[in-house]
Amino acid sequence: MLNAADLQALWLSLKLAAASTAVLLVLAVPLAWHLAYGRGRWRAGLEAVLALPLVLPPTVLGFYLLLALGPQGPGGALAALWGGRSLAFSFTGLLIGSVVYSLPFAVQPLCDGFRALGRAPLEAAAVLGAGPLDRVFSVALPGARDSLLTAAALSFAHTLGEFGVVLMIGGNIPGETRVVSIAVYEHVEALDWGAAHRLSAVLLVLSFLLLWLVYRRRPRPAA
Amino acid sequence: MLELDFVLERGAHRLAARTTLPLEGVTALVGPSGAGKTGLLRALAGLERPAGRIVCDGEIWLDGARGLCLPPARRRLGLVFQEPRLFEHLDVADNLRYAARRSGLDAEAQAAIVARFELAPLLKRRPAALSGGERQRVALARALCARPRALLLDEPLAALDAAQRRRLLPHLQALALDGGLPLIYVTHHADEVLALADRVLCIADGTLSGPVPLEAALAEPERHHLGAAGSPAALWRVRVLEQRPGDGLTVVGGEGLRLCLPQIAAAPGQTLGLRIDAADVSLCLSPPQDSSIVNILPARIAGIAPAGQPGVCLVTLQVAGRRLWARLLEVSCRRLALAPGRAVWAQVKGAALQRPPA
Repeated sequence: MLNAADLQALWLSLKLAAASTAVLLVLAVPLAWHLAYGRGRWRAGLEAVLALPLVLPPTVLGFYLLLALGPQGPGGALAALWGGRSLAFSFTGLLIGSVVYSLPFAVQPLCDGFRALGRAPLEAAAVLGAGPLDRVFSVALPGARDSLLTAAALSFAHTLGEFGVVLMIGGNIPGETRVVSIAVYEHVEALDWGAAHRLSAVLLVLSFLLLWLVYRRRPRPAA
Repeated sequence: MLELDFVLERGAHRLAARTTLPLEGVTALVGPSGAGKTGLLRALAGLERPAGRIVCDGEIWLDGARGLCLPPARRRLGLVFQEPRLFEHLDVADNLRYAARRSGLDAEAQAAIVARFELAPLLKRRPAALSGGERQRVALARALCARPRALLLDEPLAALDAAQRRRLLPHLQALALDGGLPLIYVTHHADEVLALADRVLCIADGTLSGPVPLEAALAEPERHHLGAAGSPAALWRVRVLEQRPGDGLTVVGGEGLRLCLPQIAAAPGQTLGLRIDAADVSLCLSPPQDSSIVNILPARIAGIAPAGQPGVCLVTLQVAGRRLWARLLEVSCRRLALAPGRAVWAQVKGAALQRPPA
């Protein structure tokens, strides 16, 4: 049904989505925590920056990422540590791009979850003898479990659907940066509509299932 | 011993606290709503960071000048909030275990707390499946599982309806009567637990005053926001000794005490709370032979104070280790030459005895 190249693209997409989701959750928890509970004067600025990927065209985001990841940017300096020249057009670069691009989809639900949980149970835990990190893992994360799952699923699905940013910073290197969305684009360009159909359908069903799982878990408002 | 010297500002509210408070017995914290009672408890527990100092038994908890603030986890004060604040993702047993594991409470002591608060049937339930009273009972038990050095109670009955209050109150009274754990209890009216207090802390106009001994506070009820507490009621835990249906009486008591009251539905051996209003107690110097009053108890006078009404005074009595008040005319006090330390007989009108209202 899918040829080897398409299967490879699908596998790469899933790998990228899984890796991005893992990185995102680690980053999003402290960021969402700060937005939900912090009193810092940078809060509003941070919130705006984190929402930027929602409004910027992927090409703009991709352009800046390209500069940042390229030989002249910090990404190039980072790549030089292990003898590379640039992070652009590599899986690592793609991963960094995905994380930036999908950050709001991880931070927003988590932040809402933390806000809904409120400070009350955290204070109760503190009085009962739980230290700060203990409170995060024993009260905040389990208390915001649904939001955590939503954040993970949305990050995963959003990364699967990424196109513009990938095109800008990843290009089309089989096994390295050629993800499903790029492969579909390529099939259409080549007028291979059959292949485009098959690959698109796989992504459609996969994304639907993911979102269905998220929304199925969401409790209905109490009557 | 808690030494407080701080100023707490929360929005437009400001509370100045400068006092020394013994950490023992029951301390009632009173004051009008919005005076900062909750803020004071939060500052003690470490949830607020006021400017100033808090020292507990020589251990510095807060020292603004040195930028030092001991986190709540290390102060080991239990705090029961107005709302129960249970962990919704854990069942009752795990809520208790949460506290017990962090305090190193052993399983046996934990089982004792479960039994004491009658939580065995609720252990497997999630907080969402509990009534308001049950939740507050779990919150109290959970606070005890943390092995606190003192328990701060912030109007734990405020959010409950009358029936739930009636169910929870005996547990609070038992805690207070045990005397083992120091309690600081916030309330804004003179209720039953106030009658168990040893001293009163008062917040008014942004300033903490006291502690004053309860007897002194009762002498100036208005000033101490005790409302109509010029006539306080004693609250006793008693056991049902026997039922005398022939006489229409229930006999209660314990530890050298025997009281008759109009028959109530209770099984012998059951413990219950008994409210004795100061106006229903009179005193005599020798045991009367021909009084209509059946309850005559040997007592010792602990103090005499004005009752907040001209010509009336309030006598505080000790009866078999319990506290009792008598509201008398000043002329009677003078005629009987009542004075602290004197042994007297307290007559308690049986028909007036009642279980405490919720």
